[in-house]
Amino acid sequence: MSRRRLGQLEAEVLAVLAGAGGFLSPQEICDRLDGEPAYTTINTILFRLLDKQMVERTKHGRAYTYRLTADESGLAAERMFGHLRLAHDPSAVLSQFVHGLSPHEEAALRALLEDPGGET
Amino acid sequence: MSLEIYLPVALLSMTTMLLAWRQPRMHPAWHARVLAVLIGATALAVLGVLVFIIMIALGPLERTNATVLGRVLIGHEKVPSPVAAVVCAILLMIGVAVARTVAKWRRELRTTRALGTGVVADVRPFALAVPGRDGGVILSSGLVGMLSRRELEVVLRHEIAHMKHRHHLYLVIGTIATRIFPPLIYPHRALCYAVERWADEEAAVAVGDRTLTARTIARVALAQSPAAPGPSPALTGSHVSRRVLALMGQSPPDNRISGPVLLSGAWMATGSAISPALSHQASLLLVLL
Repeated sequence: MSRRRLGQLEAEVLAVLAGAGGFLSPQEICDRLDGEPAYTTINTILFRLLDKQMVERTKHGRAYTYRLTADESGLAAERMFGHLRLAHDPSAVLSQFVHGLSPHEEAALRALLEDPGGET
Repeated sequence: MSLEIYLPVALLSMTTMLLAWRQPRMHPAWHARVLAVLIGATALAVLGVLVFIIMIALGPLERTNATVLGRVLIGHEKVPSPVAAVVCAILLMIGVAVARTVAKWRRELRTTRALGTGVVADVRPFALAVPGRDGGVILSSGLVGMLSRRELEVVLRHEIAHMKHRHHLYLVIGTIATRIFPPLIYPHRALCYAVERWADEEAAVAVGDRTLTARTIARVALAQSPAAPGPSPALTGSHVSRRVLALMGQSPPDNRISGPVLLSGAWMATGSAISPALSHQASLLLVLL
């Protein structure tokens, strides 16, 4: 596996924490990532995330354990995303999770979500 | 002008359109790869033909009759100068369109990179994967607020797949190709869909729950739609409901063998289709020099 960019690794750490739900030690996070990134790298990323208030930590014995910030309002979201058009319709270089829906698609999706067969 | 120089373009376009339209039952990762190769090759072939026409128009053909390479060119009659002028104008327009698109990308990347990764304050639920060294995932506070932890993992895994496989390169190839040859918009849309499906499938494997993945996509899309009255939906031709349906069905075959075979087949086919056109040009260049 090639060396990952820090931004990608940061997202992977977040995904691991989101999947786990509770507190994880940096070593546990390392173990759950592919390609066994260095412990110090993970610590650096956790510090950055702590700085952005996206994770919170608690002392567990002598080491810290981390989890996703439980209270969403506590997330450091003071940076505004002012680019109206960019959020709606980013061009090819930025991948967006979903694009807008047509009214027809919206109806189809609502039907899918309300379908009792598809309930989890 | 002999018609044979248009043959590679015609063949490649037809193959590309067919593959985009038929949507073979294969893993979206392989579909995206094959489509990107075919779309890129078609655009290159079109460019090749345009440049070739101009070269014939400019070329001092009479003087080169004696050389072996010159004989390649005898088959082509002189291009009337209005045609050459039109082709020149088309090439210029393509150049401008590509330059403008690239400039727009650079602006967008600069603004999003300056913002940094992580959560940004915005009620609209969206997630963006920013490619490159300073890239990462940007999540809106609206999105984080509406999703459960597991659903957030789906979104993150989807965006991670985009970054890991450098999906922006596929979309850049496709977009530039449509600037060169506008009919490629149809296969380009199929490519966009394949890339999203690819990321969806990776997310579903990573979280181990296809239904959860499908529901997350549907929820985010539905939450987004009333807040987005802009002109984008019709334009982007979103494939959200198809993506959700695909996830509710079976997981796709992984094409461990047929995928690479098809991809190398596409490489060879495009190579053999383009190379006569390119070698034509190369020989012409040699003659002119």
